[in-house]
Amino acid sequence: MKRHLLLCLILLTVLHLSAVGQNRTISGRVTSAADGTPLPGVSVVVKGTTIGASTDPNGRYELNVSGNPTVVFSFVGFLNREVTVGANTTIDVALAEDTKTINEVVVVGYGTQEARDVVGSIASVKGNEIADIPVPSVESAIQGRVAGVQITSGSGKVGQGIKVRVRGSASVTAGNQPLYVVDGIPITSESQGVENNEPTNPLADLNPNDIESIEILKDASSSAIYGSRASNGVVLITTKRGRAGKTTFNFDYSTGFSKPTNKVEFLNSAEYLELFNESVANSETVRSYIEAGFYADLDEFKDDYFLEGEWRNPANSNWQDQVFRTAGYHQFDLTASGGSEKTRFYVGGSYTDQEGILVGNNFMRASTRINIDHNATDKLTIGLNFSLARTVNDRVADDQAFATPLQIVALPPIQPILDPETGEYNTGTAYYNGLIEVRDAFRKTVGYRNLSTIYASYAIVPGLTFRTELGLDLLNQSENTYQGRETQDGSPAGSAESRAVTVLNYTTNNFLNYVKQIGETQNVEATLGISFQKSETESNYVSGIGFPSDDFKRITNAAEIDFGTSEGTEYSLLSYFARVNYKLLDKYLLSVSGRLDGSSRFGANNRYGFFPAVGVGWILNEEPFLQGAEFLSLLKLRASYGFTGNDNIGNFDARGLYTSGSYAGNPGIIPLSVENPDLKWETTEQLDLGINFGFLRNRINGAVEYYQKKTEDLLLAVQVPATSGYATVTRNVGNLENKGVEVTLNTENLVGAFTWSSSFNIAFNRNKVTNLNGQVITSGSVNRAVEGQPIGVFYTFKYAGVDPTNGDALYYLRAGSDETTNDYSAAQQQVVGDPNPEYVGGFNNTFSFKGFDLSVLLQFSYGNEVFNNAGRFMSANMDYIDNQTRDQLNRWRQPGDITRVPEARFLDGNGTGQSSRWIYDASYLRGKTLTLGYTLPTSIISKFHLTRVRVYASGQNFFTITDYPGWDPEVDTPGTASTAQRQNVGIGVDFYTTPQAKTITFGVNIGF
Amino acid sequence: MTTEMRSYRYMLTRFLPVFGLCLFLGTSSCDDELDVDPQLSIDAGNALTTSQGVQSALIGAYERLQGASLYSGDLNLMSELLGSTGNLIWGGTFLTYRQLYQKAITTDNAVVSDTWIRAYSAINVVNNIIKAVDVVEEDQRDEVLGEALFIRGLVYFDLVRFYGLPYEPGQQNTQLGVPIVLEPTTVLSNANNVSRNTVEEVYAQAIEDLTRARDLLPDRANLDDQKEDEAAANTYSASAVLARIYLQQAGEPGNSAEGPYLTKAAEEANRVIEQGGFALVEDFSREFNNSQNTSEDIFAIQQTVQSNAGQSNTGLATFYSASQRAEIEVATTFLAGYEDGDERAEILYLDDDDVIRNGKYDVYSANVPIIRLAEMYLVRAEANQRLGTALGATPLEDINTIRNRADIPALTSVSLEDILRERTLELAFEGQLLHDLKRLRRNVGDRPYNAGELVLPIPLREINANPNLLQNEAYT
Repeated sequence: MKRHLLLCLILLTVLHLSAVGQNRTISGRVTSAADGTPLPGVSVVVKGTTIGASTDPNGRYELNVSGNPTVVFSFVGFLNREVTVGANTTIDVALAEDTKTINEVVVVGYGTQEARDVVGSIASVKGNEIADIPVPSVESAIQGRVAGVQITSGSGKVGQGIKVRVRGSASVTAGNQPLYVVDGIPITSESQGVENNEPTNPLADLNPNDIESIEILKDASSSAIYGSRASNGVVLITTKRGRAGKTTFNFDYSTGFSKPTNKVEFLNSAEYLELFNESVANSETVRSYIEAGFYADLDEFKDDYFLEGEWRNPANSNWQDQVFRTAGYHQFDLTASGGSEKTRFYVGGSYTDQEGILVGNNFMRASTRINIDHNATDKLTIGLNFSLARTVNDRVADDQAFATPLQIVALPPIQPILDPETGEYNTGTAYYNGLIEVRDAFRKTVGYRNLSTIYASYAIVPGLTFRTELGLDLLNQSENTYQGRETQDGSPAGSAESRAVTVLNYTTNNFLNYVKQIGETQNVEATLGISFQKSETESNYVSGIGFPSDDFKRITNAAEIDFGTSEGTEYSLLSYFARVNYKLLDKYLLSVSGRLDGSSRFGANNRYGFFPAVGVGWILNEEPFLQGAEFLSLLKLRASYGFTGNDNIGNFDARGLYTSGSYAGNPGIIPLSVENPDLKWETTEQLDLGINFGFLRNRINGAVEYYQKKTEDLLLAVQVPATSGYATVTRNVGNLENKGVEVTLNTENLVGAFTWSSSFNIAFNRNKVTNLNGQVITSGSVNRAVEGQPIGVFYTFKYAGVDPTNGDALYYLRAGSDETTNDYSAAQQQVVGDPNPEYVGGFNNTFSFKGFDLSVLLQFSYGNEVFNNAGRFMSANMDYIDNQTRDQLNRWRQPGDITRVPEARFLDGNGTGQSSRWIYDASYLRGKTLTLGYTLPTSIISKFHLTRVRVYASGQNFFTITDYPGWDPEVDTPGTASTAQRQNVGIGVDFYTTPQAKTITFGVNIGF
Repeated sequence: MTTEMRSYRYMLTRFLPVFGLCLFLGTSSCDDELDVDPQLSIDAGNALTTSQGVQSALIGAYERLQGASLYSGDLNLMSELLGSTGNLIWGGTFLTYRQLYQKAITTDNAVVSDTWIRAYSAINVVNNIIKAVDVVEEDQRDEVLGEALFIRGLVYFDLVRFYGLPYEPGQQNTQLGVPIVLEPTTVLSNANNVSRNTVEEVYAQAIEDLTRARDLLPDRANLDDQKEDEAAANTYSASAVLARIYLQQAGEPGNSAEGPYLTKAAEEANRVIEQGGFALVEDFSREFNNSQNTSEDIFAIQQTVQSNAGQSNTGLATFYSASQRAEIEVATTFLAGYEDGDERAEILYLDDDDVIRNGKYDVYSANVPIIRLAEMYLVRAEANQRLGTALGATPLEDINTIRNRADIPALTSVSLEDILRERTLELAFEGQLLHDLKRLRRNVGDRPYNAGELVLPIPLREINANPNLLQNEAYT
C-alpha cells in the first residue's frame, strides 16, 4: 500500500511540474566550495513554491522555471544559497559548508548529540582529517589535533604501543590508557606481546581510513556513562556507513618512503682514536695496571681492548648508517558505499605495508570491513559491522638488548663491519654486532583481529527507541622468534620461542532512548540501559634450544624444550547506565548521567561502583540581552562535575587464593594472596568549567576549559605484617591530581575562491602525586613517583659541570645547595627533572584554491625533559670503548677550559655515574603532517566516468625543531614486560631508542 | 497479523526480556556472571576442604622451607657469616651478606627481612593445615598433623635463635623472641598486629610442637613409598630437632641449670641413634650433593632441577660453589684445623684460583641435609660428657664413631674440648656456627655471645607495618 502511495505522489509531482514548467529549463552543477567535489542530493527549489529538483550523483540538476524566480539551493551541512535566475539557463553553484556548529552532531556514549547541546568536554576528529596519513595506527594520526590529549609514540619502531594520556596520568599502578570503544563496543587495547620485548599495539589492527569520526570524552559529564573505565578518558571510534544513493567507489593508493627524522653524530675513526688515545693516556686506572705489572705499557693495554689491533690499523665504519634505511611504504584502499533507502552498505578492503626505518622492522596490515544497515520495517532497523584484519609485524629486539639495532652505535668506528678474512659480518666487535641479529634472527608477530557487531533498533512508540547490540572482539596473535647460532642469545645452537594468545571480548548493550519535546520550551532526551561484557584470554608459550642448523626454526626441531606455559584468565563487567538531557528554552541545558558497574575484579564488599555526573550549560547568545549582538554566533557557558573510575586492577587482586608449587617432584599448594574484600576501583572526581564561543557566523569559534581531576583510592601495594603469612596486599590508599587549561581556536581566515582556515589547540596539564602512603615508587632507571611531585620525575645525582682547574666532573652535594664535590658517592640524589610537558598542542592550517588543497599541521610539546639513559655510555668522555657522540670532543683538556664534558680518563669513571648530566630539554615543534593535493576538474575526469580524481603529496614529521641532542625528542623507551606502573612512572627516557620516521608519500584518490 | 506486529512481538519476547531481566527483576541472576574464577590458582576458601587439599598444602609447606631465604640458603649463610671469625672470607658483592659478615646489619637488610617473611609464610601454611586437619582421612591424619607441627616447631626454633637474645638456662627468659602466631590468616585486620613473645615462650612453643610431632609421626619402618616419604619428616626428625633445641637451651658447659636440658638432649639423640635405623655414610663426601636422602639424613631439604633455591643470585651453591658466584672463601687456617688424612677436609677443595671452597653444597639442584646422624652422636657425646653419664654409649665411643668414618685414628680418651672440636670440624659451614658460639658462650671476635649485633634486627618493613613490634636494642 505504501509503495502505491509513493508512486502516486511522484506522479502527481511530475504532473504538477509539467503543468507549470512550460517556460524554460535551467540546469547546472552544484559543488562544494571547499574542495570542488560534486554534491549529490542537493535540494533545488524555486523560492516560495514547492517546485524543485535534486542533484544527481554528479551534482547535476535540471529544473523547469517560469519568469525570473529565485532558486534556493540547500543541503544538509551547507549554507543555503539563493540565486536569481535572470536570463541564465546554466547556473553552477558552489555551496559553502555550514561552519556553524549548531547542527553538528557528535557521538556520545550510547547515542549522538548536537554539539550545541553538549555540556561535557568532547573533542572530535573527523575521518577525513586522518585519512591517508602514513602511520600504522590511528592514535598517531590524531596527535596534535585535539586539546588535552597527549600522544607519545615513544619509539619509531612500527607496530608498537603508543601512549595516550587524556588530561594527564590519573593512576600510578593501574593502567592510564583511555578506554577505546569502536561502534559502541569496548575493545581490547592492551599489549599482547611476549614479555621479553616491548608492548605491541592492538589498535594497529584498525584501518584508519575506515573511520568516520573519533570522539574523545574528556570530562566526567561525557564519560561517566562508561563508569569504572572512564578515568583516563574514553575514545569513541565510529566507522563509516553507507548512505542511500548511487553506489560510489573510492580507490586510494599511496606510496612513499621513510627516513629517520634525525641521525646523531658519532665520532669517525680518526676522532675516535684521538679521544681513545688521550683517554688511555690520562687514565689513573691504566697507570695503576701498568704499575702492577698487568701491562707493559699503554700500547699493550690498548691491544688488550682491540685484540685485532684495530687501533693500530683502523677501519672507518659508520655503524649507525648500517641499521637505518630508506624504508618503503605502500597503501591501497578500495571502498564502495551506497544502497537504497531500505538497505545501506559500506564495504572496504585495504592493504598497508610499511617498512620501519630500522632494518628488520616492518608492519603489514590487510583488512576488510562490511557495515550494513537495513530498515526491516518502518520501526525496525537491523545492521551489521564486520571487520577482519591480518597484521604482520616483524619486530626487532627491545631497546635494552644488545641485539636492538640502534645499540650498534656503541661499536668503535675503528672496527670493520665485515671480517676482512671471511667477508662475513665481523664477529670480533667490542659488543655484539647487531647486524648478525638482522641476518640470523627474527621476531614475527602475526595477528588476526575480528571486530564485529550486530544490532537491532526498534522504534517502540514515537520518540522511544530500543536498541540492542552484540559486539565481538576476537584477537588472535601468534609470535614466533628464532635466534640463530651465531646470534648472542641463540648461541650455541639456536633458540626459538612461540607464543599464541587469544583474547575474546564480547559485549552486549541493550538500551532505550527517549526523545520528547514538552510544549514549546522543553526538550528531554533520556537513555537507560544495561551492558554486559566478558573478556577471556588464553595464552600458550613454549621455548626450545638446540637446532640442527639455522634452517630449522620451529620448536619441534629443538633438541630441548626448555620452558612452557599455558594460561588463561577472564573478567566480566555488568553495568546499568542512564542519562537524562534536559533543555529549556533552547538555552538552559542540564545533563545527568551515571553508571553502576559490577566487576568481577572488585572485592566482595565493593562489587558495584556507582559513577554519577552532572553537567549544566547556558547558551547566553539566546538571551534577549545578547540577541542584538549579531557578531556573536555562540556563547555557551558550561560546567560539569562527576566521578569516574579505573578498574585496571588485575583480575583477581581481591581474592584469597592458593597457587601451586612443587617440592621433591610432588605437586603442592601454597597460599598466594589473602582475601581483600574491600578492594575496588580508583576513583577520579572531576570538575570541568568551559566556555564555547563563536563569532561572525562562527568564522571564529573555539573553547576554553579548566579542569581539575582528583584521583583517590589509588591502588598501591601496602606492606602488612609478614607475621600474617603475607608481605603486601593491594589496597586503595593513594591520591593524585591533574589540573589544567585547554584552549581551542578555529578560524576561517579567508573564504571564497581562496580559502584559508586555521585550527589551534593548546593544553596545560599539571600533575601532582599527593599521597602514596609514604612510599616512593621507582620505575625505569631514574623515574619516581614521589609525594608532592609530578609523576615520573627524574631522581638522581645533580651534575654540576666540570672543574676548570683539573677537568673533574662535579656534582651538587645536596638539594638546594650550591656546594659541589668531585666525589660522586658524597653527593646526594635529588629531584632533577620532570618528563611531563608544561604544554602540548597543535596548529593546523588548511588552504584551498580552485582544485588545490594544502594542509599543514604543526605539533608541539614544551617543557618536557628527557633523560638519555644511554648517555653514560655514548656521551661519557670516552670512559670506555663505546663510540662517543661528537659533542664529547669538547672535553676538558687543560686548566682553564670551560666545558661540561669532563677530562677523558679511561675507566676512571670521571663523570660517568648516573646523573642529570644527560637530562635535556626536549621541547619540540614538529611539522607533523603536510599535504598538498590537486583535484582534477570534473570536465576532464567525467569523460572517463570518474567523479573525483585527486593527486597528492604528503609529508609526515617533515621537520622537527628541538634542542634535544639525541635522535628524537618524542621518546619514551617502552621497556619490556611492561607493567602499568612502568608505563606510568618510567617516562621520558631514551635508551638507544628509535627516532620517529620522516615519511614522504605520493597518492591518488579516485572516485567513480 | 502484519509483519510489523510480528516484529513488535518478536522484540517484546526476545530483546526486552534480556534487557528487563537484570534491570527490573533485581541483580541476583546477573550477579552470578560476575563470579569469575581464576584458572591458575584456586580459591582459598576451597583449597583445604578435602583430604587431598590439605595434603597438597603440606607439600606447599615443605616448599616454603626450601626457599633460598630459609633452609636452602640464608639460615645457613646468616649463621656462618654472622658467626665468622676468620674461618671464612666473604668476597661477594651483595651488600646484604656483607653486612652480616661485618656484623653491622641495617634494619632494611633484605636477607633479614626475606627470611622473616618466608618463615612466617611457612608458619601460615602450617597453621592452615592444622586448622583443616580434621578433613584428612583418618589413617593419615596423625602423619599430616605431625609433619605440620614439625615444620612449625623447627621454624620457630630458628626464628628465635636469630631474632632474639640467647636462651639462658634456668632463667625466666623474658627477653623478646618472635611473635607466636598459631591461627591461619584469612583476612587482614588489626588482630594481625601481633606482639613479640618472650624467648621462653617461643622455645616452649617449638618444644611443644616438636614433641607432639614426635609422638604423632610414624616410625620409619612403616614407610610405604620410600622416595616420597623420605622427604617428609618422621618421628626421629622431630627427636633430632628436639635434641638440638635442648642442647641449645643447656647453654654454657658447667652452668648449674644445664642438667635437665642435657638429659633430654641425650635422650632424644639416643632415641634417634638407637631406634631410627640411620647409618653414617661410609665416605664422608657422599653425604652431600645427593638427589636422594642418604642413610645418614634425618631430615633434608629436597631439591630438583625444577624446584630449588636458585643458581644465579640465591641458594647455597650460588655462594659456596666454585662453579657459581663463589663468594665465600674458606680460610686456610680453618682447613689447617683438620688432621692429616681427615676425609672431612677433602670436601673443602681448591678451585682454579687456588681458593678453598666449601663443597658441601656444590650442586644447586641437590638436597640440603638439615640434620644428620653425625650430629646426634655429637649431641649424645657432649651431653653424656657434661652429665658424666653414658646413655647409649660413652662419649669416647661416640667421638670415635665420628672419627672412624672420617678415616682418622681413634682417641683413647676424650675431653669436652675434643668433642666440641670434633663438632666444629664435622659440621663446618652447615649453618651451626653462630648458634654453637652463642650456646657455648664464646665470643664472636671481640663481641660477647650476647652482643646485640649478633642478633638480627626485626625487619624495618615489619616495624613499619606493625606498630606493636619492638625493635631489638642494638638497632634502636
